[in-house]
Amino acid sequence: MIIKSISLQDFQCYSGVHENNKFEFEKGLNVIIGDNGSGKSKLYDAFNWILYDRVFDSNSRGFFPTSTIRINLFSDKAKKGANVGDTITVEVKLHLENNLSSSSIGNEYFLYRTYTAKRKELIEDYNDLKGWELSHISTEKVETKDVLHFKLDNSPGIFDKVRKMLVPDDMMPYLWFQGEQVDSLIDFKKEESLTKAINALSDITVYDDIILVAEKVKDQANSMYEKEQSGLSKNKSEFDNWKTSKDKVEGKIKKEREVIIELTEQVEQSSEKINTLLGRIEDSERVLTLNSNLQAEKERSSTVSENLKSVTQNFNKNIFSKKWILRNTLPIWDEFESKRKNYQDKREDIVTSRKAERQIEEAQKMRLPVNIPNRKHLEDMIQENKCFVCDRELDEEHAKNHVIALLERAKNISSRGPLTKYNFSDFFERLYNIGFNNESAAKSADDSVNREIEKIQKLENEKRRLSENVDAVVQQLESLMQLSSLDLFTSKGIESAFRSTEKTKDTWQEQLTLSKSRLKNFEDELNSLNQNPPELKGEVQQQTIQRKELFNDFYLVAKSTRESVYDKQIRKIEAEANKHFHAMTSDNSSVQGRIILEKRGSAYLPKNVNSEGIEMSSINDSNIILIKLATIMAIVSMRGNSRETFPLITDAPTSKFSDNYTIGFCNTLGSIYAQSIIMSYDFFHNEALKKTLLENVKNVGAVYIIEPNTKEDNRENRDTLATYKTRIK
Amino acid sequence: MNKKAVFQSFIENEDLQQKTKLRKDKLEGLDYIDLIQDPLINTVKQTIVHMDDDSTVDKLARKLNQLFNNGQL
Amino acid sequence: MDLFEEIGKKRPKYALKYQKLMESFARKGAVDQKEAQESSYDLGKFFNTQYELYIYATFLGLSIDNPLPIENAEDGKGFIEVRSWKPDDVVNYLIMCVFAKSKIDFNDLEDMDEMGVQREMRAFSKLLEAYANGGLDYLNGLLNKGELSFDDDYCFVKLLKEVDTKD
Repeated sequence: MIIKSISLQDFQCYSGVHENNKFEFEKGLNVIIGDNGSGKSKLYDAFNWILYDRVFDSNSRGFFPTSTIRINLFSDKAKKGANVGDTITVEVKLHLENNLSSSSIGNEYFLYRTYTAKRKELIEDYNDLKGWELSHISTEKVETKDVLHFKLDNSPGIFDKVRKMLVPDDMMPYLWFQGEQVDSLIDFKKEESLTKAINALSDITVYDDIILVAEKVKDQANSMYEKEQSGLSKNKSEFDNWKTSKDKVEGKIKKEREVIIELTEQVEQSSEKINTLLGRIEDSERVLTLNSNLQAEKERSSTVSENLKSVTQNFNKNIFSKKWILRNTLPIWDEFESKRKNYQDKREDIVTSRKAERQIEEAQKMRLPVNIPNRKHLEDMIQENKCFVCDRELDEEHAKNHVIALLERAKNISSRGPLTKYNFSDFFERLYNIGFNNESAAKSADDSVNREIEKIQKLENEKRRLSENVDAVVQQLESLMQLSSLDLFTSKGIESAFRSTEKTKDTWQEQLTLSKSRLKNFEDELNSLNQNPPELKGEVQQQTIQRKELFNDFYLVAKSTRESVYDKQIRKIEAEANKHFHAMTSDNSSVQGRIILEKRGSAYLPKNVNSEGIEMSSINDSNIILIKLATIMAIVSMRGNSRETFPLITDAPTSKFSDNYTIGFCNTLGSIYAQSIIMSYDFFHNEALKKTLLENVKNVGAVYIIEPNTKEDNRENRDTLATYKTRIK
Repeated sequence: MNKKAVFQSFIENEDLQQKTKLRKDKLEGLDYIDLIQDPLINTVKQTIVHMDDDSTVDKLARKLNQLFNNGQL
Repeated sequence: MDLFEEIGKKRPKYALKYQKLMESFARKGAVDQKEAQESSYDLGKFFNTQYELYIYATFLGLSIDNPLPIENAEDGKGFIEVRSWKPDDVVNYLIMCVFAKSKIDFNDLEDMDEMGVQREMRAFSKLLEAYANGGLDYLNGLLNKGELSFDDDYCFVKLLKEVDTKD
């Protein structure tokens, strides 16, 4: 069945009548191109609404029925234009054709869904429910082609019947989906996700049913056997005890097996987490190292700044402390030197001449009468109290005293006092020494200043350099943090998270080992019990034994068959998905290897491996979407046969792709779906891509460009909003 | 339900082959109805044969027990 | 008589018209040298104390050899006595320079009586004041002409060099 056309009346942004909002489709690939907010998703909603009476809300990632959406289904224009008493109608019409049917009867259909609202009160906010009388539900209608005309078809359940012909319920998720749903559609980590897919492809439930039957007959046979045993036992209570013990152990075994499954999953999860963390640990270590470098640089910079501040502050202090102030004083110092020399010389002269004068004076004042012996002899004579002239004692007191007085007078003259009133030679000498000591400071003041200025400049340069270093490291760090989506806190956390997760894993592993060991013990215990049943009076009937053995085997075989069938299906899906994956990525040379679905516990996780089965690059976001899409396509291509063709309707499936993949994807679609309708933004701004689509992609049917009549950011007034479409192919 | 395909899956199961000591080559090409009398294979066969839209687990289990009692497995 | 003591007792003055200058560039009455330095810098002052600026101005006056006596005693404003000025060796060097420039005859000085010496010391003090005044006047002139950029931390140091070349 293919879709020939869809038309909308007043459906959300598609205001106006059917004729204005009609899209016609062909077999092969049909594309609706539009900018964000142009109405592509609303068109997708229209498909959903007409068949399933619901629309998709991307905020909550869920579907909402008409009864919830209500007034929001209608276009603003229609709502605005309705007066009290007017009825507005939203309607979507689908034209379907069963292209495989050769009959002219019942091979074409029109499906309608209609919903009405009556204006009962004029409120400014036309979305306010108080102003409307709304139908509770929407109505469905089918018109079936009868030879040449379309006739209303009232056969019971006709709408659902046609709907299922178009899209079987179990295939629906894989045929009609939005790009953002792909992730959850195929969740490799959840067994039910893949099982659902496999169920859509094969009769896995049959095997499940067989297991149930086998389990039942096994339990019955076992129970029969035990009953007979009990009946034959010599000691009933002994047998009952034995039976009870067995039941107990079997119960423990069952429980322990469940525990093992849980623990195995815990270990798996921890391993996965560790792998993820490992990937990030390198980055986080780099972040932490860079950060510590940054702190070191900042500290260095701060030290230099402090130093610089201190040196600058003290600069002027040096005027005195380093005696720069003496810079210009050398000539004055020379002057003083000269003045002092003169003073000294003069002083010497003065002193000398005054001394001489004194001496003369002294000498004069010291002169004794002519015929008196000289002073020395006089002194000796006084000392010996003897006159050397007459050689007799100096007994005449008066004469002796007179001579003594003469001698004394001479002495007084010679110690008369300083030659100048003041002696400032020490003072001037001190000043001279000060000048002398500071002469070199005065001479080298310039050098000292220059050195200091140089020091300051060096520090300023250093400060600048370090500041640049800091900036560079900051940039490095910020860039790394952005690329790796890590911040300091997280980075610090990653190291510890890694250690703690390792520890956790070890703990789980330990527990798992213990649990397995316990299980073994229980199994041994059970074996022992089975091998040592209580004594029986006779033998259990052969038939009973045979029944037990047969149905136990049946149960085991039923389980293992189911498992191998399931696994085979996975392999088939894997092979088919690889086909599509390679078809989609053929233009991208960086994609190599193949995808395998590796069993991990109850899940199958995709891995990218080379021909030897060795894992290659890890799977990134855009690749995983591609793999999921390839898996979806595999499910469809495996399910479909030549008699069944289902249309694919998808909104923005390629939003996370690069351009190469988009074209690859489009080309692959044609080989899987008889008809596909994709809404896409990718071609909107990308002229080259659009050109490739129109000229190089195989089996292109209709291509439309849609545009709203007002821009999305300018839609304060939505009541004139309409959507224009242009068919370009 | 493609009964033949389901039965084929069982026959191809190595566990079953081991338990019945049947070799794969002996099984190939034979229509499933014609296979030699082996209790396990018969059990599988009969289960599949009697499975239809109306059957329940209890019903099928009872059927199998009946067949066993009659020595038909 | 100890001339250092005599000179130390003096309180040289500066012309009142330079009071603003003195207060702009020096801190008044700073007690603790270290503390004074830090806050002086932050306050945009170049000299810790007024006497430092005075000494600077005196040397400046000596360099340009432009003594400007303060005519009227009332026009002058004094501050702390010379013996409290620091650092000692710079102060003594200053004294040496003023002596070099003074007309005092060293030898005659030694023959004067006490009153005479006192008189000469007063003249010495006046001469020191005059040189200081000359220096302050020079600074004031530069300031008014806008040739002195007090945003420049190095201006007082640079000035020492400029003055030399002017000579």
